[in-house]
Amino acid sequence: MSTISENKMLYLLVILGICYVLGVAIIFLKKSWDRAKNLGFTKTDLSNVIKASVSFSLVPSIAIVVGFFSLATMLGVPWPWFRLSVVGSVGYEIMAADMSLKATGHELANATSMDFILIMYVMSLCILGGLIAAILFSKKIQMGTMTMKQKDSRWGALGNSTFMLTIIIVFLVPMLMGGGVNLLTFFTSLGIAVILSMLVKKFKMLWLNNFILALSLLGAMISSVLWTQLLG
Amino acid sequence: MKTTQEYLNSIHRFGRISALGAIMVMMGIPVAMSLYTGLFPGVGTIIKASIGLLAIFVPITITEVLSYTPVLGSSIYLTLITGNVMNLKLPVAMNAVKVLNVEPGTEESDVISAISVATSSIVTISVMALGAMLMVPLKPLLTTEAMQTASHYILPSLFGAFSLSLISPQLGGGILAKGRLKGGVVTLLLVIGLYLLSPMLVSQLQGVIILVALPVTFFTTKYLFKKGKIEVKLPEDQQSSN
Repeated sequence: MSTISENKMLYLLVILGICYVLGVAIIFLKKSWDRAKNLGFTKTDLSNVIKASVSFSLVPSIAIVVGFFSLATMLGVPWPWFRLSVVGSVGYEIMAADMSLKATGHELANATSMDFILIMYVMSLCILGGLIAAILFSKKIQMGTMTMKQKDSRWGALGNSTFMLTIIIVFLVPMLMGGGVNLLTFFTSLGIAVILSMLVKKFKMLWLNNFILALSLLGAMISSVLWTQLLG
Repeated sequence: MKTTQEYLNSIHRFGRISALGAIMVMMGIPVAMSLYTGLFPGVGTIIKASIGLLAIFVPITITEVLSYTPVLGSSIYLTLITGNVMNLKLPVAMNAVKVLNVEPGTEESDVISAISVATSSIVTISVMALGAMLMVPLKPLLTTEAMQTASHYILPSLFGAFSLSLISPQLGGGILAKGRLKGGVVTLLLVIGLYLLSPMLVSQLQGVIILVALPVTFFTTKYLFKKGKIEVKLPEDQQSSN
C-alpha cells in the first residue's frame, strides 16, 4: 500500500483539491467582508473578528495536525492531509478505513493498493450526506428563522437564541456528568474566562476581549495534562 | 446596495455551487487515482464496504445540517466543506458574533459568522499544509504524550469558556432577555435523563439529539415568553426607561 499512498499523482490531486477549498474560503471571506462593510461595520470591527478567529483557530488546528500525524502513519501523507483539510475528522477517517477493510476481510496492517483505493472511495462517499442536505435545505431553514424575526422582533430575537442554547445544553451534559478530567478541564476553562472578563472590565483592557476564548482554550488544554496526571 | 434578500440569494447560490464542486473534488480524487493506476474495486465492493458507515453517517450528517444552519446561516456550506464543525467552526462563529455583540439570526450575524468561518478555514488549511511539509521535524514534538492528552480535551476546554456567555441575559445587538435560561430547563432534564439511560447515546448522537431537543427548547421558551416569565427588552425600551 505504501507505494500508492505516497504516489506523486496523489500528491498533485490532493494539492489541487486543497487549492479548491482554499479558493472557496477566500471568496467567502471576500463576499462577506464586502457585505459587512455595506452593512456599516467598521474596518476595526472586522479586524477584531479576524484577530479573534485566527487566535481561536490556531490551537484546535494544531490538535488536528496531531491527529494527521497518527493517521499518516496508517495511510501515508497526502490522503490524510486532504481528508483533514476538508470534511473529515480523525475519528471518522479511522472508522471508515477500518470498516471498509473489514467488509473485504482485510486489515490495515497488510492492506493492498486496491484496499487503499477502496478506502478513498468509502471515506469520500459516506460523509457526503451533510453537503447534499445543505444544498437542499439550508436556504429554506435560514429564511424560516429570519422570517420569525420580522414577524415579532422580541420573540424573533429570543426564538433565535434557543438554537444556540439547545446546542450548548446537549454538549454540556456529557461533559459535566462524565466527571473526571473532562469536568476539571471544563471548570478550568470557565475560571480562566471569568478572570479574563474581570480584567477587561476592571482595567478597561478591551483588546483582551478578542482573545478570551483562545486563552481559556489554551490554558484549559494545558491544565488537562495536569488533571490527567493527578487523576491517573 | 443589494437588499438582504438579494444578498442571501447570491451567497446561498455561491454556497450551493461551492458545495457541489467540493463533492466533485472529493469523489474526483479516488476516480482519478483509479484511472491512473487501473485499480477499481468495483461498485459492488464499494457499496458493501460503505453500507454500514452510510447507515450511521447519513442520518447524523443530515441532522447536523438541520441543527446548525440556524446558528451558522449561509456559512454552513463552507463549514461542511472544511469540516471540524463542533470543535472549531461552530464555536468560532458563535465567538465572533459575541465579540461584535451582534444579534443572532440576522443578516449581520450571517456575514460575521461567514467571515469567522472563512478565516478559521484558511488558518486550518495553512497549519495543515505546514504540518504536512514539516512532518519530519514536528512529529516528535506533536506526538508527545502531553500533546496527545491535551488534544483529547478540546471540547471541555472550549465549552467551559462558552458557558459564560450562556449565563448572560444579553442576546446581542443590545437586546436583553431576562430569565431566558428557564426555556432550557425541560431540555436539560430531558438530556440528563437520556444520559442516565445511555451515556453513549448522548455522547455519540449529539446531532440527532439536538434536532429532537430543538423544538422542546423552542416551544418551552415560547410558552414562558407568552406567560411573561421571560422578558425581552429591545434597545429602545432600555433607552426610554433610563
